Amino acid sequence: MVGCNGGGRVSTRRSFLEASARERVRSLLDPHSFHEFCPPSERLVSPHLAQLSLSQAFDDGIVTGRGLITGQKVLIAAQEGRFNGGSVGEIHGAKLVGLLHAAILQKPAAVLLLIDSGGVRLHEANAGIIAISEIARAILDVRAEGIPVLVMLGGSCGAFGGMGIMVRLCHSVFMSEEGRLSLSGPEVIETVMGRDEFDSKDRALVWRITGGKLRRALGEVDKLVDDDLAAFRNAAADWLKEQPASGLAPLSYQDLCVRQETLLARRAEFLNTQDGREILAQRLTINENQWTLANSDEFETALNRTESELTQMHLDAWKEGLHDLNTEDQIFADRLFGPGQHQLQYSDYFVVGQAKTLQGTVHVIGTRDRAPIGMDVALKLSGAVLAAIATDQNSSAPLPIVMISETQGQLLSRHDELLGLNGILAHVALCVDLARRSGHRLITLIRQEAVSGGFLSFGMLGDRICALPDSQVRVMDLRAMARVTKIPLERLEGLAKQSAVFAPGAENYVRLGGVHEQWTIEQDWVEALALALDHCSAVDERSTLGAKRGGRHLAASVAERVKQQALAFA
Amino acid sequence: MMEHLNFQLPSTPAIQGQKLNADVLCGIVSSGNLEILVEPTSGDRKLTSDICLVIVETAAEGFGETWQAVLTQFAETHAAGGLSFTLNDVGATPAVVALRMAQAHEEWLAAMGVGE
Repeated sequence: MVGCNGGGRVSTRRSFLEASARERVRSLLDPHSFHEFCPPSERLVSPHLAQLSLSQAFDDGIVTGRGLITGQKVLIAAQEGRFNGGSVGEIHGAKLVGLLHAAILQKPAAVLLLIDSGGVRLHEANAGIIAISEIARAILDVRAEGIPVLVMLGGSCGAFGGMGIMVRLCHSVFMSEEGRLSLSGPEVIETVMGRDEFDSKDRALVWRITGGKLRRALGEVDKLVDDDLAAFRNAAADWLKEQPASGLAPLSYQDLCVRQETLLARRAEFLNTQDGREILAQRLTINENQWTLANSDEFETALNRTESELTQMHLDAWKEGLHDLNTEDQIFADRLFGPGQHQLQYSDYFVVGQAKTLQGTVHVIGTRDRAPIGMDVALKLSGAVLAAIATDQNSSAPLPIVMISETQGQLLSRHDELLGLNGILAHVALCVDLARRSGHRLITLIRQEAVSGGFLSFGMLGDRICALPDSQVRVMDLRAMARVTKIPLERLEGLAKQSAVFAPGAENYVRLGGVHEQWTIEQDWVEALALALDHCSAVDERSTLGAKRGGRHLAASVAERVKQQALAFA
Repeated sequence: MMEHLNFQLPSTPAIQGQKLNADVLCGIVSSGNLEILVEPTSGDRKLTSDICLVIVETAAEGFGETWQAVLTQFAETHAAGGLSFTLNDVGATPAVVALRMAQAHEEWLAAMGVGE
């Protein structure tokens, strides 16, 4: 594509934004080195879209394969933002999981993820969010092997919802100014909270909250890249050269404590900030006119610092304001652990403490009162998880962590989005993952309700996930789903009776393998908890469980198919 | 609702004396657009090398005659015998379909190592 840039010079720049997923993959890799796994001719189309009489794509909107970058072998995936917003459904997600599982066995020089996605595909919402949770576990497993994972962002859909969290689980993120990275989309925030909170039609504002330059200045992105396929290729090649041949060290407790302090400092520095303008002014040596026009090199040069220099943020901040349980929570805790068997405290939406079970003492960390998960609650969760790791670090048998997940979803707030709520939730996930790798068994108890982003970054990471009686699990309720997908509510209600794949309900998540077990009112919860602790497995078996229970037929087999094709190429 | 259409159109054989073994995907399934998967029909004995098969899955119902016209013209003006074109369409205009068919054909020839 030949066009004119602002200076009037004719350039031969080819836009990353305008390129398709396939074009991006081909242009990043050495010529003719791309080999696709489960290519379009295998027709792995979404059966769930077909059921709703919607158009399908032969690759379900994601390209997976292998290739070379300056002669080094990499595995690569690229989402097609123009097919259903790059959204993640059962097959789409399984292809990415399979690629990541292949990476663990094959140990390529790196894994490249070209994310371009609005998050969960609502037409198969339950399968989609479980798939994203499986992607999270797989990325964390790839990281644990020391294999570098690079995200490149610059597509029209950006990275939102669960995929916004996934981006920040990876080692490095390169992004163009045109890219966007956040959790809740501006339209969602505006719809629920009103235009005063976030005017989604104000494009300049949207980019000052979620765009590449703001994210780079904030420190959520490692490098700003021009919207040019060649620039992305060069950046990837340079990055690959810098990766140590021996692999990257896994994240340590110290690393995550530093990150915790950094995020606390960021929160303090921009306590009331509502507009990225303020952050950019703080972090750049140039003024607004200059930063608006700056290309990526000029912008990088003008960066003063990316993270706050405030120090001495205390890691114990999560303990502030804790007090004894109220009556309702007291009754709940008595039922779960037995009267007198627990020492729990709470502050607002956060609950923490220790308790005795039939299997010994456990840490208890979680949320309550249908918590909307914003940065404050998230940083309390991560702080408490880090404290649990520290408490048991010299123990040969670290105590299990009972994670109480009660959330209406992520907090819809422009301020929290501005400060990188997606990245903060990713930090929570990294802390939970470190706990698992440090030997803590993780039991999730879903109380009342567990919804979307708030569930994804915490409860869904449990080794064993149990839904308490009458609890609700969902991505979105059917009414909102009907509005967004433009499918009549009556039709969705009819389909919900036959399919577990998109309708709310803990029982649907059980069928899909996303919830291991559902407890009953009659059951003795003290015994049920002891049994659940006994059945903990640190290996993610949810896709096989989903196939066995008949709710999710394809996830396991598609992931395996991609993996086998990747391994056949070794 | 989706409509399924199937066309078998006479067309000059794509390439003579060479095994057809390339697959190509062209275009994207998005509003006003379509994707086309081009493959050899050699697996199917009923389809000789002078027949071009086109299978259409479209979100726009009731345009069978328009499809017939656009695709017949494509098959007449391109050497597409022995090939199958499978289309996932989301309401692309006839002009876009014609353009995308030509592009898919060209990309398939390039994948076979034949320039046009």
